[in-house]
Amino acid sequence: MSTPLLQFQDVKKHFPVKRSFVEGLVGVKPKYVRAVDGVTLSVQEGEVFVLVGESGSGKTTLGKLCLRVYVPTSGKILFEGRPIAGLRGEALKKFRRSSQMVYQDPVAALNPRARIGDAIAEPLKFHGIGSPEQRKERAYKMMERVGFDPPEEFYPRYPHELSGGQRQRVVIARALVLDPKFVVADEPVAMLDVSIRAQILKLLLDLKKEMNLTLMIITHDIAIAKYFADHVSIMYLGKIVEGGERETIFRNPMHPYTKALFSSVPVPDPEAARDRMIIKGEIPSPISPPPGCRFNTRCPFVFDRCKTEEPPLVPREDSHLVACHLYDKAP
Amino acid sequence: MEKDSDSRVRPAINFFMTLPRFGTGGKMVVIGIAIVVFLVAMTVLSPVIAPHNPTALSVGPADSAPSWAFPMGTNRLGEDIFSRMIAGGSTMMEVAGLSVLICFLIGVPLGLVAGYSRRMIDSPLSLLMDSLYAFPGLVLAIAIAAVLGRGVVNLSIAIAVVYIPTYFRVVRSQVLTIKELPFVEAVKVEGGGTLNVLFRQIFPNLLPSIAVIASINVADSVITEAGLTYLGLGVNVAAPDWGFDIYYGYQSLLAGAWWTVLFPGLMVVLLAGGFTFIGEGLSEVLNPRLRR
Amino acid sequence: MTLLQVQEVDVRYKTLKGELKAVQRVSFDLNEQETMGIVGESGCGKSTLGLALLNLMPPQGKVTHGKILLDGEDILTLDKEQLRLARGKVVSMIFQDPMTSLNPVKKIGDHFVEAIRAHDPGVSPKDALEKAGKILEELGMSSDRLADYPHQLSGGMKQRIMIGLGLVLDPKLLIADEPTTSLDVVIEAQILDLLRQLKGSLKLSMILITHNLGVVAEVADKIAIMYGGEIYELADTRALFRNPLFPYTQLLLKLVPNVSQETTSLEWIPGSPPDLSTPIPGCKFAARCPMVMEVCKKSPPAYRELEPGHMVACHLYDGGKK
Repeated sequence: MSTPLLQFQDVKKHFPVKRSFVEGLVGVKPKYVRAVDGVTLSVQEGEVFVLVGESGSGKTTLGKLCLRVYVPTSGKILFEGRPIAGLRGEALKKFRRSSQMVYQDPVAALNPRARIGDAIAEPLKFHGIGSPEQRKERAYKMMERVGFDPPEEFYPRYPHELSGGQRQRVVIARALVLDPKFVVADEPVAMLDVSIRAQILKLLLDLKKEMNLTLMIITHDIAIAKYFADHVSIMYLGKIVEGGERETIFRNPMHPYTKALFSSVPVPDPEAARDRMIIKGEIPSPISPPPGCRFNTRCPFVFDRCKTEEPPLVPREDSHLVACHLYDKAP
Repeated sequence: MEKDSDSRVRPAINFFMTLPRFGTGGKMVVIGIAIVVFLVAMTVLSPVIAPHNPTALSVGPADSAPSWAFPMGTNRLGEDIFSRMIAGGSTMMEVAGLSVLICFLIGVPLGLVAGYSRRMIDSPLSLLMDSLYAFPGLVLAIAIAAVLGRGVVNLSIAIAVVYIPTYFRVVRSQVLTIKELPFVEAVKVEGGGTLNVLFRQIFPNLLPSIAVIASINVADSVITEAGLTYLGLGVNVAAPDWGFDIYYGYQSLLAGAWWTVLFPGLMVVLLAGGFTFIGEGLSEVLNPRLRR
Repeated sequence: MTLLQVQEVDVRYKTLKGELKAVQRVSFDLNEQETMGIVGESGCGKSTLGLALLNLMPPQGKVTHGKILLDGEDILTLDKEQLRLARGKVVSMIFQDPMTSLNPVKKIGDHFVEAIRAHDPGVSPKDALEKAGKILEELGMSSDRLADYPHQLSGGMKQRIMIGLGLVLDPKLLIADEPTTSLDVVIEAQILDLLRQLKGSLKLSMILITHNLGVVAEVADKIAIMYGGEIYELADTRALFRNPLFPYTQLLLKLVPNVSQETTSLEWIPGSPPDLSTPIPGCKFAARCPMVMEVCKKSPPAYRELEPGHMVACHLYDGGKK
């Protein structure tokens, strides 16, 4: 197996909760939001890696860590075998060229005062690629590829003149104009109408094939994992609880949280059996995660060991990783 | 709110052309601009259109009431008030304009820096600005003017100092909001530097708010300048000046010559009002008030 | 027993571009203890319709035609005071985003007390809080939550509070506009389960407005499909899923991924919803319909009952059932 494109080695990212001035003075210990709390994973080159998690799971933070928007509190992130935390200057610029992001909210992700064509060409400017005319040409090409036909007509438009789907295409074009190797898409279609979601996702995947990208899609929508993933990882409260090939995960979900997730999706069939796994309660606060297995407060299969000992993420069959005491064959 | 709502309102870029459609706000802006343009044009063309030389003494009898020969009457020195009204705005406009420029050049960058930087830089700056802001405006302006002395530039500085904190605050709070938006982060991920973020991403999005503040600010400057002149801290005694006329006309007023004070007063109000209309109108257009 | 009768309702909106018909000639009935789903894309008018049922539209909107009979009385003819009394007590509404629907400076308990006493000033705050506590328990939350402020609660809890506020006055009809759209899938399942339970235990009629057919499949007894401001199909849930007649409905069904089944592929509908500010001569869906015919572009299809209880407006069935 070749070197994975991206690797996380026990990565943690903790955000300090701001103390008031008085608290700081008195010496009250700062609390931390443990958004990502010990994640190890690898993304292979050329695959579609889908990270599934609900709000509060830390998935967005993980995405931003991949792109060095944040630097890990501890642990290492390796891109093409090299750690990205210490990159500076030219090396950092090179990294930026190779890794880009597609954002969730197409309205907030575009500068309302910039023409969309300029927004797409802008990354080229930052890296000093080509002359202004060449950059424009490249922007046109990218716009055509994402479906703006003719691109010249759309170049001078402003975001508010476009529909939601069109704006998201601009966001995608902007992310791909640098010809990156790795793209992180954080909920790329969550804010779009149901009827065009698949269209945009298909676009993303077609472009992935054409441009030889490695794609990480972060989402809470299981369907996206089911239809597009090569690899699926499930995240809960800062940790990965299950991970593996798509087929394996969907055929045989092992972690109770994964099972609950799958059974929670509303099924468009009134006849379908309603034997859902309804889990009670809410996701605990990432400031003080429960001791032992983080899911123990809501798990229908919880037993004593779960409350004291945190289960490690280990392979149970082939490359199917699970972090759950239920599968521990040890005494 | 439904997802993917395309009806989200964004300030139109070519808003001058669409202004009237924006209802009350738009109309106010148009009226305001019309007033200001008219007054500026009038002042600029004054050497040509004023019937009499505004500084010529005794063109008519002293303190005479409005008549056909002198539509606004004459003042104590026998100068034609009508001509003085046409020509008297220039100093005021100069001072107002210059003070806004100073405010902009100092208040906006400081606001940008404070909003974008860490607490270490932001806190002391904010503290300084808050202290200045706490001073009653006119008192501060008087104090500074007294120290610096007369002259257009000095007066402009005196007024500017009073208003810089307002620009600073507005810009800073906007920056705090905007910098959290994804498109700013996107620029960093693309490889853009801090300067680009500040000037090409954040700054253009501040312009609407700055325009509003500037308009109201100019209106305020006009009044402050008039006040300072009235108190004798004004600029050039020789050139016609509305503020000065109010000051000087006070004595004539006591003798019953109301026209010596009314007309200059009206002109000041008109100029300030014009700018206020622009500012308030812009504010309404850009931030449509919640409808009932 | 019929609780709600909507008859030929039109709602118009004034916009910068002109006037548009957000809702056009919508008619349907709802019986007691019946749950109806209204499904459509954003912009189809479903939310406007929901607001119209309470006469709660923003100033630019106006019901320009039709009747809305709630328990026999036309709510469009009620004056302000009568409306105020009807809202909450007879018909109540909850919205998509619980974040902005709760007052951040008021405790949860205060929200309830206010709501109760607005309708019945004679009730003491203590009694009101007691009632609120009972409702919370029915919703699966501890009555301790009454002392919390909104920001201390999670999204799922807030939505439950919203449902509680909607039900505290024992209304006969609850209208829920995208109640689970902003929630995570696991919490969504909890809320849907809750709504199903309440249906039975409180003898409640519900109208569920959503773009997600999966959500209504579980909870609704009958479903109306809205497009461009009009209802194009209306049928019992089972009948709709078994035999969708309107092409848009068929496409909608394909859109909702059935995660428990074998993979095929995700679908989408090309094009975008119609711009209602320009009048459209024929069927509003003609521009995107895979089975469009000439007549569809020229004249609007008639809304008829094709099978007992199954209404549809589509030229495909002009000669009776195919």
